[in-house]
Amino acid sequence: MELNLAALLLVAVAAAWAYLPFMPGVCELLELGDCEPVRVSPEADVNIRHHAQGFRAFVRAEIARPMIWSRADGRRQEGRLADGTPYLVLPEADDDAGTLGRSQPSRTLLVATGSLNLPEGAVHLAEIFAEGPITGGAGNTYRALLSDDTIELGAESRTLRWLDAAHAIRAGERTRLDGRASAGHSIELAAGCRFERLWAPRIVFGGDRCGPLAPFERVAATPADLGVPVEVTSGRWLVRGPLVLGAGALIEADLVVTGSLTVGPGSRIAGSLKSHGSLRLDRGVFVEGSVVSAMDLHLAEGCEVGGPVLAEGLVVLGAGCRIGTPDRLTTISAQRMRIDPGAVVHGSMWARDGGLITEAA
Amino acid sequence: MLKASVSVVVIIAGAWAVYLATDALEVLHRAEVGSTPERVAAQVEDATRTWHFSAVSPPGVSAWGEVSLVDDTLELTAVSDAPAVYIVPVDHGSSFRLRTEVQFLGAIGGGTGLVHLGTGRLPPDTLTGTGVSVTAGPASGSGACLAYAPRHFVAEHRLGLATDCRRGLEDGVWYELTLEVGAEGLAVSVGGERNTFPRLADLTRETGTLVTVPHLAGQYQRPYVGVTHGTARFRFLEVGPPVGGGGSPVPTIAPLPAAALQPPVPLQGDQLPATGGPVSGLNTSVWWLRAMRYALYAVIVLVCLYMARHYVFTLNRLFGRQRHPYLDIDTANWPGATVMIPAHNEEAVIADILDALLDADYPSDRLRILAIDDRSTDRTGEIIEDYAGRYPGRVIPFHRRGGNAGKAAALNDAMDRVADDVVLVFDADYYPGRGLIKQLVSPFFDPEVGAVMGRVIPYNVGRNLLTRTLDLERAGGYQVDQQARMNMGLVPQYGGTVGGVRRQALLDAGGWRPDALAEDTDATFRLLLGGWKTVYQNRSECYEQVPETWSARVAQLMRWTRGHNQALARYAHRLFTGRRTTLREKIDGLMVLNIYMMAPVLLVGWILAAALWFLGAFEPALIAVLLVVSYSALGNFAIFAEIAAATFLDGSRGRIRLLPLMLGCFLVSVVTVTRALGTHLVARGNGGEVVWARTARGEQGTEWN
Repeated sequence: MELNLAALLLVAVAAAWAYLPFMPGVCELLELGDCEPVRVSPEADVNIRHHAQGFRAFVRAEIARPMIWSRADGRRQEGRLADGTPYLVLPEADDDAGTLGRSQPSRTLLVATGSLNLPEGAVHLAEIFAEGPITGGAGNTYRALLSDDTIELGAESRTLRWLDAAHAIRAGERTRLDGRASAGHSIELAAGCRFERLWAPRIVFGGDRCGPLAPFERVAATPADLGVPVEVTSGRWLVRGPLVLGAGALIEADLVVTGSLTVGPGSRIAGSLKSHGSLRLDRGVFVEGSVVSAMDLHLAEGCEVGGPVLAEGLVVLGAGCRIGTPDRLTTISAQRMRIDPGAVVHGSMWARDGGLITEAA
Repeated sequence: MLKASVSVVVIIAGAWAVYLATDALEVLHRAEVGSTPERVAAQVEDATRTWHFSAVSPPGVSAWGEVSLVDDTLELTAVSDAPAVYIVPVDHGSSFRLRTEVQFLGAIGGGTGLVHLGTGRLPPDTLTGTGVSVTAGPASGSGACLAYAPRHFVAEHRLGLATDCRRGLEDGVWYELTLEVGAEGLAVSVGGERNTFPRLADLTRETGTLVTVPHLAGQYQRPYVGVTHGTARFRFLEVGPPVGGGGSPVPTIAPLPAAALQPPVPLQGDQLPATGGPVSGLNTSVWWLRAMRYALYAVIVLVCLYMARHYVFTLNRLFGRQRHPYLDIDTANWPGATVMIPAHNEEAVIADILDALLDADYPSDRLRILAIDDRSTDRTGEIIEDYAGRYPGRVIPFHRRGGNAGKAAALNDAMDRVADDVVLVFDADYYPGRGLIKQLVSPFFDPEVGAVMGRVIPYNVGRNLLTRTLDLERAGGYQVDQQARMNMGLVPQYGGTVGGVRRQALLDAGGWRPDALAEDTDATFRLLLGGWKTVYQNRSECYEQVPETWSARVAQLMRWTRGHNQALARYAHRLFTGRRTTLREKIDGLMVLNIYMMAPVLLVGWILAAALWFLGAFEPALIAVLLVVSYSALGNFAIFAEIAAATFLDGSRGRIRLLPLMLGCFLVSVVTVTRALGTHLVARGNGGEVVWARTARGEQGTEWN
């Protein structure tokens, strides 16, 4: 009997010991502590105007009444939101924020029923909304700006999160746009500006100052003309190793190169390009489809690309490059971007580690 | 990449350290048992002695040589064409330590009745034995057993010889052993007493190589003598006296003159024991044991590779560069795309996915929804017709009334109705978000992309243990495994739903194969062989219902296994020899194809380890390595690390507490996958067609995938 008890005790102790590692799991199973489905990526990640749209809706809902009063009596309205954040509503006739944010950072949510003028040297750490145009002075810092018209930022300004204009955004020299910038019509960035994510039907860097290049003579190329073995499948040319295309080549296919790729001046690709190595488009190259590089991508002066431009390294856009068209918006995405004044992009730009508009002419 | 490489090196070094540590423990144990300094000192006074030995085995393999004790050194010179000569302990009171490196066939063994096979090298001073005797061929012993190739070696030793390996020279009697195999069977002479055993099996234990001399003592009081293949004639021509022995009398036996040494005479066939069965069986078993051992090594290597792979993926996701090259494409001139929805009796959910797709953020004039009513017997076809009537040109009905069963067959039949170059596939119970279509189409702007796969996220997580563990498994598989393969330029897999293919590329590769049990894996590898890449988009998520019952899970797993192994048989060779794939794609692709073979391989490894252990032909240290490595690859730390990283990346860390419970799920998987392999092989062997089966999941009943 004693032996049986001892054996039972041993088994019980052993079972408890063995159960120990499973105890947290069993507790989790019983408690259902973390059993919700993993959240999918929010829409904010893909919709560049998500924050702006949300803020606009917030203002319309939470500050609607002070805005009506301000419009009615032409006087400023002040108050606090439910979370204690102060707000200031400026009437249409009173468009000057004055010294707000100049001596010390302003945390007042600023709303203008008309245009808004933000004197230079101010720091605004709360969102700003204007139903009219917003004009910012040089050296200002903003958390976020929203305008139903245009936004014009002075030189060396900085936005911390986002800015959105229904019509246009113009940023002075060496302005830094952290986060998102979107406009319904156009964005113009002066030389020295830095950016991360842009969207507009027309994005101009340093002025649209390049005219069209002289026309090139082009000769249709066959796979045999490439001088390297080419596998042709499904309308795609596949080249193993590096490839240098001569000037004026006309290729009516997609071209995939497992090495680096250089496309000669004036060539035209009636398909898409992909290279595993670095990719360089010489002057005046026209690509109807997309251009993809697993490394760096250099587009020399006057190149045009109709489809998305993707690089996992650096993208360099030469002066006069045109990505997309007004009626066929597209995306250019890369880890870093360096853009010469005169380039134009129609659509979306993502520079994950930042983009820079060079100051060289 | 550097961090990942360093980590792999550290892991391998760690595994090797475990092996060495286990080995060292064994050596220490032996040293403790048989070779204390006191014992050695007490036996230094021994004199010079020489033994000669010879042995012969039936196939003509023979061994003979000389063992000499000069001062404090035992020298053994073997002249032999035998595969091995062994030193077997018969004396608990002696000890030895190697001074020179010895190449051995066999390994260190211990324990009664065990034979340990293996090859390798013993560096000097790594072995201390507890006794020495000599025999040839596979042998066994109690205590230390050193097997070595026929070459000269020197051992520092103190020799004593006793009849009782446990009690030393307790009885003080010194025996001469003679073993002979003749027509009458095996004759064993010990101390002048001769016993004949007509059947070798009468003498052998389970190893077939251990001969006990039963008349000497009781169960634990016997010398062990190795016998080559169980049939050798083995004879101590000279036996030296014991040493020390607590004052017991030491008989004096003069060394045999060198001239007396005679090469053994190979036995003739008619000299073999009359019962030939055991003899031939024993001979075969040696070869077979070696094959088993090499097979076990192969299993260990394979398991190590997969273990390293999991760790590399995990480290890549935690510390490596993450690739999402197409995720940013939110604005483009979107191409025409067709979404195929194969549906079989999906009346409960078909309307939901149609509504979701009609609401998708994609140009409505470029998105067509091909709803496939695959032999449904419920209202699925009716609902599809209703939508087609309300959205002409956008919802295209396809009623399939015959043909082969299975999703691949349904997709293949419907492919004729697709004109767009981008084809997405969703199962009917999925509910895609508004932006998902654009995200899945965007990689096709890359002219090298042939297929795309989004992430599947279980929705019915909190139902029971199964759904919770499947949630973890999916997280590890997608969040870490698939994305790491994307990051590293390997072979992400198209998963059959929440994904798509480039129509022309697939058609050029042969289209959907109706006989494919896993059309997703099949398509992935045919596209890969055609030079097309599959892209994984980790942030293109879609919810799914995972199986809620074990029977459904087992059925799903069995189908995946059969489909995967079908793809393995079809494409492994072509992948290995194909010109359009990179080396890293070949390696990863083969490992992906082989993934469902690993469970049976691991089972085979465990069986081999156990068999070798009980056959006495395996080192304990290697068993420890196998156990550690096996546990670290399937069942298991490597996948646990992957899952833990996934929950970390997902920001849902509470569920990590469930990790230990995954062990049970892995065991179920191992058995199920092995069973699936067996049924698949049986089906092929019988020439029968393997029937595709659907998986029952969630509350919605049966669903695709």
